[in-house]
Amino acid sequence: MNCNDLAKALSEEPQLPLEAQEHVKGCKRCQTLVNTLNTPVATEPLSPATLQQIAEGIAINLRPVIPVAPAGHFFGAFAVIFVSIVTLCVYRMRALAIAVMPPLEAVATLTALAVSTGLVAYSLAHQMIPGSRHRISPRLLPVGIGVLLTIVIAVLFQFQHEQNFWGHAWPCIRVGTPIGVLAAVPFWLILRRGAILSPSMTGATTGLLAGLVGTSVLEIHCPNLDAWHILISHLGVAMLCALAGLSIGLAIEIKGYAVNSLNSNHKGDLA
Amino acid sequence: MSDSPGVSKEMLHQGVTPPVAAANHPQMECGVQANVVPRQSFADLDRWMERYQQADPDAPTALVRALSPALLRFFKSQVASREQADDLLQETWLRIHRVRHTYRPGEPVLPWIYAIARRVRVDGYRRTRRITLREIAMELLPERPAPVRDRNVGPAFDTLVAALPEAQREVVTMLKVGGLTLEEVARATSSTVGAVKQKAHRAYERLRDLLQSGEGAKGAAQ
Repeated sequence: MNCNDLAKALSEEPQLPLEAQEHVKGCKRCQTLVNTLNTPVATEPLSPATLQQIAEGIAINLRPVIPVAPAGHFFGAFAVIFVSIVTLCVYRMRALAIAVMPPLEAVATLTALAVSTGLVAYSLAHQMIPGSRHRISPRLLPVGIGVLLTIVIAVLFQFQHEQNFWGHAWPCIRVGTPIGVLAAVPFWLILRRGAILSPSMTGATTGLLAGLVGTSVLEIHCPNLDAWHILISHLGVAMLCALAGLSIGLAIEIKGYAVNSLNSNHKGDLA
Repeated sequence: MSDSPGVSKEMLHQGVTPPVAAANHPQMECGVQANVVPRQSFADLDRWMERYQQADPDAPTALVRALSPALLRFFKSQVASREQADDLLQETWLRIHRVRHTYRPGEPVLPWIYAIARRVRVDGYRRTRRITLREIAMELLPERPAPVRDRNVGPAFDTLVAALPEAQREVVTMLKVGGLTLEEVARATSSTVGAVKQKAHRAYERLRDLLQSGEGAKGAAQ
């Protein structure tokens, strides 16, 4: 065992294995490190009066609360809202893209969108509950989803030089963005049931999920199969909504509202 | 006081530092507490959390006494002053009270608590920074005397981790001061176990380098 192995052992094991302990005995550098890490933090203990004061402060008007529902319930609610809005919009706007898209491209695109939506909804359902287990880092997820969908679109569709590109792109953005904004409202109402500890991260994820509603509607409706068009005006809606969510979240964080204002009405109170 | 089964009386009456532990660590009596709280002390917290949700009047006292010392050390190792750490502790309890419905019975309590505590710390840092930016220095304050330390022991934990980037400092503090496991730190920081391991590994390597360069500089000075 060498010094690098010791750093690894320290970061992986709560108790140093025998080998590592042997190494520490013989290595002055590592000995100093281990000793320092075990050096107590000098803090005057809290007085019983202070502890009592804090406890009494939170015990005033203590009312029973209903524990929040499991993450699976929220995941289900997000999925139902997503599917409902997409179905409603496609019913009104018609599925023109599916009619002209080759089956392989249609299946692959819709599968990629479904997987992305599932991952984002799963992450959001866990972000609502402090201390939840995340299998994918919520900070990296929006970026990862953006990259994944970009690759899928770039592989499946051809890049063409469209004349009047923005003339075709703008109507899609104008239709998709309000759908995203509309979807964000019920998502937000569900999010209020939990505790939003990181408004910027949750804002970006919520924005992305809402934007994916718009992107999905456009993917099913818009018959333009140019890769540039899909990337800019369809996937762009999701990215735009994610950025909007991030900006709102950052504004909330900077203003310092965070949990204070978002959860001030004690959602779970029974009384 | 409650007489429910499984609730340790030491935890309620003496906070998280049981008398046996205090006897083994004489520093505790002179105001220095051991970093890591024994995990047995946290064994009943989930039950107390459930009772807190059911509005048991004994639950706030039990939880505050059990968790506050560890939370205070967590804040103290991340912020400069004791006053700030005290404020953050009080703010944490207020937020815990507001979002107590988001604790799910059966889930580990510590990651839930520390997830809230780290958010309070971040908000506190932002607030302090905003105030500091608007303040005009009217006069120089006398420097705070450095704590007297045994020369053979090495630098203090909080002094040493202050040199780390924020994310690494947070992970090391939760592991070494909060006594959380890798899984619990991952939950508290909304991260993955792999990412926490990586941060901890980098932090330990950096700390070792810092200690080595510090000793080298000391040797050269002598």
